[in-house]
Amino acid sequence: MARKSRQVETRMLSEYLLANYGKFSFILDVPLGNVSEGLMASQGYQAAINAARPFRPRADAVVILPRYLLLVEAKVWNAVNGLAKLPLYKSLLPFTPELKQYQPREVLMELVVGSAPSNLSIMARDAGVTLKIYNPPWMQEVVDGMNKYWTPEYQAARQEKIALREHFGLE
Amino acid sequence: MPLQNYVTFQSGVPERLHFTDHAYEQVTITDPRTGRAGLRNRLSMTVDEINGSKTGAGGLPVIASLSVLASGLEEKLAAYLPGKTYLGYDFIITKSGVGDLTRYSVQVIPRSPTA
Repeated sequence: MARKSRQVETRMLSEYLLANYGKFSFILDVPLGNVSEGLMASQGYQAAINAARPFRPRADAVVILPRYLLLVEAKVWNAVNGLAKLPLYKSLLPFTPELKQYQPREVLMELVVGSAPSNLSIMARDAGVTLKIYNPPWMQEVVDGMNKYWTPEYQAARQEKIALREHFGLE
Repeated sequence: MPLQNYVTFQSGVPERLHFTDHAYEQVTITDPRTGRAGLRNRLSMTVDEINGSKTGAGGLPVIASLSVLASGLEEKLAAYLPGKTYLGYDFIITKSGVGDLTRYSVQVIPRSPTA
């Protein structure tokens, strides 16, 4: 089966953090929330963390600033989903054992997007989330692709490309 | 932990690594489920420091390699490849899950100028 999606959000986030927070430590793909104390007592800290990992939500990144923890989500598609997650994820930070050593710190939230429609800005402001646009040339190509993704012409060309890749066993 | 001269990860065990070089190479990988072989790009990172130590067994200098096939981990490291930006950072990599569900949490830590 040919790959039908592009992994761009990880690259986008990684570049954005390096460019903007390169002087600070940050964690990518962070499991959030508490881990059963009973499990920790019976199995030990590391075993309990391992057992709980599949059941815990994961934030895209947490930047460890001197006075703050900065919770970051990066979205190319479904930006509202990223925005909606941030306040919920924020509630889990004080209960996250992996971040205990960095507490107490206030929590800030950032949503990194390729483009920001005006309604997204309104919602972000209301949710207490700072909206950041990261739009290098390669990102613009992705955003342009996203804008024409649902056009009949793009879908037809895409299906033809996928069929060819499968036919020649390239994926 | 180092196995021969390759860095391998145990699930849930963080490894702190410092990289000194990198290269992309094409390798033939056989899909264990389909049995079909295919060409894949592999990112190979040269490691000179593991968990804060520049020496391994027998007091010999660490010269190890981290082989990255997982696109999720490769994308996390890719931003640090131009200009060997990774020289100025340590990376704590924690693997979790197995097979298709494997994920890598990566903590990026700036190194002090004297490190």
